[in-house]
Amino acid sequence: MAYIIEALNVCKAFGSNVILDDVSCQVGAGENLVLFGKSGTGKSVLLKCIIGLLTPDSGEILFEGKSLLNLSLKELNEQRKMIGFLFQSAALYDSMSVRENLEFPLIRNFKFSAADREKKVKDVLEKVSLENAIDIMPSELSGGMKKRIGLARTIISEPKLILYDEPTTGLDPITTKEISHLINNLQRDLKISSLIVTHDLMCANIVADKAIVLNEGKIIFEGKLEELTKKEDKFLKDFFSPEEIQHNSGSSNG
Amino acid sequence: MADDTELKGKGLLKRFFETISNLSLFSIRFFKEVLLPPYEFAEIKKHMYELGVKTLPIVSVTGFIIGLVLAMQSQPVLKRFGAESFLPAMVSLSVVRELGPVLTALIFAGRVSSGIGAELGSMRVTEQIDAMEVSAIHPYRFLVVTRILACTLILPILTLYVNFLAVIGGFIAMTLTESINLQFYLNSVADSLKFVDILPALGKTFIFGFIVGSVGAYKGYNAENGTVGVGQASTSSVVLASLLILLVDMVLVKVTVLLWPT
Amino acid sequence: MAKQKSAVKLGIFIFIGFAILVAAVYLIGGKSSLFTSTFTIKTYFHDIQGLKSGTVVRLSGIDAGSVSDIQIVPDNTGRVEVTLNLVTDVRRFIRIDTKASIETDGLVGNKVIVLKLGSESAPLVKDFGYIEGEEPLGFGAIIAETQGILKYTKLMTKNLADITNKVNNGEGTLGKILNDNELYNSATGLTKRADSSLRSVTNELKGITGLFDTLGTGVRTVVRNIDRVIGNVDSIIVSVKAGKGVIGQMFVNGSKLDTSITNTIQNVEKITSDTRLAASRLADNMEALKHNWLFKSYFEKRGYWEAGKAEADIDAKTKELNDKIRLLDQKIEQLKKIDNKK
Repeated sequence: MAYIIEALNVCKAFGSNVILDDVSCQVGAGENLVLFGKSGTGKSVLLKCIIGLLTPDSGEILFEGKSLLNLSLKELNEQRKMIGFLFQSAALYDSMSVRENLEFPLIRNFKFSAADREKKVKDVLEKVSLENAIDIMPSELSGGMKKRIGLARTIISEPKLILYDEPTTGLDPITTKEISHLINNLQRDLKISSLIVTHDLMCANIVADKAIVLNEGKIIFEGKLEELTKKEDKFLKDFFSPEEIQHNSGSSNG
Repeated sequence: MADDTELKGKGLLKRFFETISNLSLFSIRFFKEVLLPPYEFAEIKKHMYELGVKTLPIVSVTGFIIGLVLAMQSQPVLKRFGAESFLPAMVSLSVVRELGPVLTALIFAGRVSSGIGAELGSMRVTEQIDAMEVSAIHPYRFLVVTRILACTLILPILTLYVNFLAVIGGFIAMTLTESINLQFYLNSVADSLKFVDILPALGKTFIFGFIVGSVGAYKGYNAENGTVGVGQASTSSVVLASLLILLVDMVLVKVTVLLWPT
Repeated sequence: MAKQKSAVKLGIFIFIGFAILVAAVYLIGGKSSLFTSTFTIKTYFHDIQGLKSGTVVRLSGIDAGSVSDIQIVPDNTGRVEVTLNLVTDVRRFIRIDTKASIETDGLVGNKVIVLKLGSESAPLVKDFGYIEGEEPLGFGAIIAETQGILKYTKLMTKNLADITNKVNNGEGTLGKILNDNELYNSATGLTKRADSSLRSVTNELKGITGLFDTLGTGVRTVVRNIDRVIGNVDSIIVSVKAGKGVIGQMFVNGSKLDTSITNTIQNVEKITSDTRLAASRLADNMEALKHNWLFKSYFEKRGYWEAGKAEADIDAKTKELNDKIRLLDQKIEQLKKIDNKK
């Protein structure tokens, strides 16, 4: 199977604080890979290493078989045009309206006519069901709407791969479901592969083709989600059985 | 624990030198990036307009008051010398050569450096800068170059405006005690000012504008620690920009005198 | 970590670089003619009047360089060696008889060194060569001179008063004058004294004219007139002496003597009015000096002045001068009367 993105033996430390310790993962074409883990276990760091916001201390990042490390900024940016990234906070440019936010990468990275741009903006807004939001400012949007617009901005440049950083954090269960289904729809309609970092089970249940669990910088599980829930590992049990966590909270969360 | 404080002191000095080097590299990068496309003319225009609008009221008031107060303060002194007729020359020379550029720059730093620091700082902590970077756009070129350039270009204009208002302020101060007509006043101002007084001082303001823009952008661009970091970026950029303006002025005054002796 | 370390190094490097730049700019600033080639000459003064290193040197009113060093000569003369840095452009004007003097520039009393061109035939000064320094004349000197003049004027007036008194107390006729030996003697004595007084006055006034160039030509005219008066008075005396007796001489050359006396009176009148003009200008100047705090501080600094006392002094002097002029007027009137009676 051809992998669209591969992270091989990635290590990353900030000072003496080791975040990623020999982590490897691969996302196949058209596959949704979910990356699980507690907060602060380096899931986001892995995503940032992949997109080049951070440089791994060692290891290799391959996009369609080509290394993303040691590229010039110009070459890296060529690759980045094919990779989308949805930030946890959506990271909408709050000095610009929704339309300007969506057009921003289009104007600068592609040579579309104004009419084409308009059409594309309408298209992606339709995909995230927010056609009416085109002329409002990000500050007027709710959390869920921001996420959708952020997703729209990500897909507008038609990437082959989208990296999701906690796409459903801070959203209510209904919105979580909506966003999760949206991710699935995009995967289906646009043939986009996804690497989804989350600690939200509901979202993972909906989107995951495959799952990886990170703990303290190491991969402790890799496989189908269904297998995961059957594991007898103490950490995994804690993670996936909320009731028990509450029960043990006094001892485990020191 | 003694080790601790020592370490802290060392860290402070280290951070001081790091700031110097990083700020220098950050500013030098501007000259490289400013020449490279894409040229964000619309952004530059927008920022210039915003900076102008933002600072115009405060610099207007300041300019006028500088001139007024300077004239009122100098009048009795010059009278003692029997040199009251030098008042227009004195006001205009002090304002054009030094007070105008430096005070405008300091106010500009207070208003704009903090603004840029806060704006870019919040963009940094809400990952907007990262978002730009991952969508293959140079955040430095789009956010930093445009702002520094806007500051560099707008400050000289503001300074000229402040100089003008200060001269008018001086005139008004004089009319309070003397009967002097505007034409005569403006004539003696024009007589006293030479290009040697105006041009180096104006050239200086480009540098001040650059300092304000790059310090604010540097602090904001490298903000850390969430919203606290935004506040820090905002205040520390004002402090640093003001300090640098005064330091650079100290050198430039001397250089001006050396290169263009009167 | 390695990156951080190099950042610190670069920071230190930039910091030191900036510090050196500042230091360099400010050190260079001490030598004001940085970007022009210069040459050095030296001169001496006894009193440099607070001259400072960096003072401008002027040649024919053009800034030609600056004072680079001031040092007391290590001998007993108390001279001060002043080193001048001049731009090479003016080199061909600096000859060995060029003179340097310390003068006051403008209202606020900045010192400048003024070079006076020498003769064209003199050789040029070599590098580190010497030119002559002219001692500055302070306002203290001016005041001393003025006091000298006042003293002489006073003496003269007193003598004139004496002789007129004697004339008045005598019989009041020409015969009385001619027959009274004592009067004659005192008259000649007066003339002699007046002569020497006037000569001194002349010298003093000549000196003063130099100082008070700004007072205009008035003082100079006065001096010239005084000279002429002296000449006239002398000629009277000579003719009197040459005659066998005073009476005989008077009868023989009556007309000539007559005109001489009339001329003398006219001249004395003229000189009086000129003196008055000079005096009033002097008074104006003194008044200006008195009320100008700048000059006052100038004098105070140099110990010539004790604020209140000095002002009173000036007032008194001016008043005295005016009194003397009035006295002179009176005497002229009396002399005229004598002339008419004759």
